Amino acid sequence: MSGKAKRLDKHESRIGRILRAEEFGVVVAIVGVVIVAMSLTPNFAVGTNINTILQQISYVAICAAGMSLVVICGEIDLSIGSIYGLGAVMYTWLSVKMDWPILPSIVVTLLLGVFLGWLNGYVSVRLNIPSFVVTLAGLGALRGATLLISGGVPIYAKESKTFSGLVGGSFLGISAQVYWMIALCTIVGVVLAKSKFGSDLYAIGGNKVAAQNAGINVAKVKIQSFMLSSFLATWAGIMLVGWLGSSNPLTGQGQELLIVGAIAVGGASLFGGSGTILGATLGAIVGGLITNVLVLVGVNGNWTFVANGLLILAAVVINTLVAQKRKTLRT
Amino acid sequence: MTTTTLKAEGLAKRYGGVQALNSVDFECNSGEVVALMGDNGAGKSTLIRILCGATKPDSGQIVIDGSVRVINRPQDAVENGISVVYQDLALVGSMDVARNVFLGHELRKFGFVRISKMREEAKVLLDQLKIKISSTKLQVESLSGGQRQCIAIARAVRLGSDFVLLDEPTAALGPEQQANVLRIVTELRDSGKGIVIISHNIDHVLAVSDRIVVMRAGQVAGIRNTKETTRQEIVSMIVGDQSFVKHNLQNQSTELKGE
Repeated sequence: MSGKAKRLDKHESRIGRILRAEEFGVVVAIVGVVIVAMSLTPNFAVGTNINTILQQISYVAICAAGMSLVVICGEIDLSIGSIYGLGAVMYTWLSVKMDWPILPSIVVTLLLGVFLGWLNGYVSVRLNIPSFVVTLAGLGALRGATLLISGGVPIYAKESKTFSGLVGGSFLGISAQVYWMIALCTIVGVVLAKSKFGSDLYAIGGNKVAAQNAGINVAKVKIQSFMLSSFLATWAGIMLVGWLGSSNPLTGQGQELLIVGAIAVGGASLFGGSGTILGATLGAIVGGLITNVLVLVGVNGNWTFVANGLLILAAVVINTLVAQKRKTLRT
Repeated sequence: MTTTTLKAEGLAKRYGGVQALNSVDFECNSGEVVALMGDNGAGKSTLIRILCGATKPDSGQIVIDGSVRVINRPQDAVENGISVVYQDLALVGSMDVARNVFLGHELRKFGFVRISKMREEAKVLLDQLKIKISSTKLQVESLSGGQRQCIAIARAVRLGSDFVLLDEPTAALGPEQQANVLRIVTELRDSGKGIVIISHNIDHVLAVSDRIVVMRAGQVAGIRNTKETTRQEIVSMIVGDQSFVKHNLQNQSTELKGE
């Protein structure tokens, strides 16, 4: 074996593993932002503020967990923000305008979400059209549908203490959304890391032809990833209604940017083949922290968009450089 | 050890106006290395692709141990004990060695992929084949071309294939790595596998093969036992040196086919 391979092998020591972990960069980013935040404002490191940040980013984190599956297998879903918004509006429309009971409204809304995910996946994969284009069309069309269904105005949700408590209450001083985020991200994370489905996603994103040659049903796995992603985004939209008590037809506008950002900041390659749910969740937290700090120090709120854009750019540049570095390590 | 025979009979394949294969007969026994040689476009890869189920022939059949096998998909080939090793189309660089060895056939328990079990078994398999890779946790993209080729071969072996088809296994490798791949080919042969190897490198072919099948313009131009042929003869057959072929016809008329 060559010297370089030996050196790589030594990296398998504990410290090496930490340094090489995909989440290493995002942890550094969190620590950095927290240090800056604490030096800028005493209001940052307050328990309630931390809970607020986590509560606010939980929706992005849940969507990012789902879309990580899509990104890891080499696709992207830009309609995710619109699906999230449609989930919120569809649920209130069914439960309020159609006066359905809450549970069937939730179930039918989720089914619609899964169907839209299937449609995105089917058109992209089976018809061999880049998912970037297909879901960009979805982004516009589904937002339009959402505005049409809602009539362009917010719909007040049906009163339900159980439901709003379940998705918007708090327990031990921590908001329900934080528990939901931890639970859902953990489940998706375990599925990705431990199941055959997760293994197939990495294989497809890493080398589609090799995956195909190894007998993996590439089209089926990809479509399933779109469906799961869409399911989680729809559920996040329904959860939001349970908390806010109303749906807004503009909910989720621009959210795709935050979600892609969270995934990229979490160390995933936007070209597929790598990424973790832990990384994406931490990536969502970085985005939330930056927004929070900017608000606390009182700068113009529009700077948060600039900050998020720059954050994505920085993450992608760093990921690309790291990937190139790894390649040059080849013997 | 009983001998298994993989036979292709009368294979033909046309791509548009090009007759890529024209009534090709081919045979490989377990425990032997058959080398496929020929110029680009001679039909070697088409033959391999048909044998491994990646391409459907227009006519002809594949026979294993006397019975006709239907091989329409790569999966069918694997089930019939045939697997193929493509150099760069087999591995996922961003995944580790163990996951690549088990790609598409992961070990599972209660639906969970058993990564540590896979690492153990991959290690055992690599040791058996005397493939030196320090850890099965290494990412494949950090390995050398030769090591990657060996992992791809190890996967074919793990599938329990009786026949392993190798498409240019030594191309783009350094001399040391080439030797390593050829050693594994020999070891597989000695363990009773039938090996079909496409190569442009006549030195490698003479070193490891038992028989050489030369193809030209979609037909079998000739078959020679490696021990009884010369570099000169093989090269002439590849380029279609007519004077040589004619001379040859007079001496060994039975060996030439498809003219």
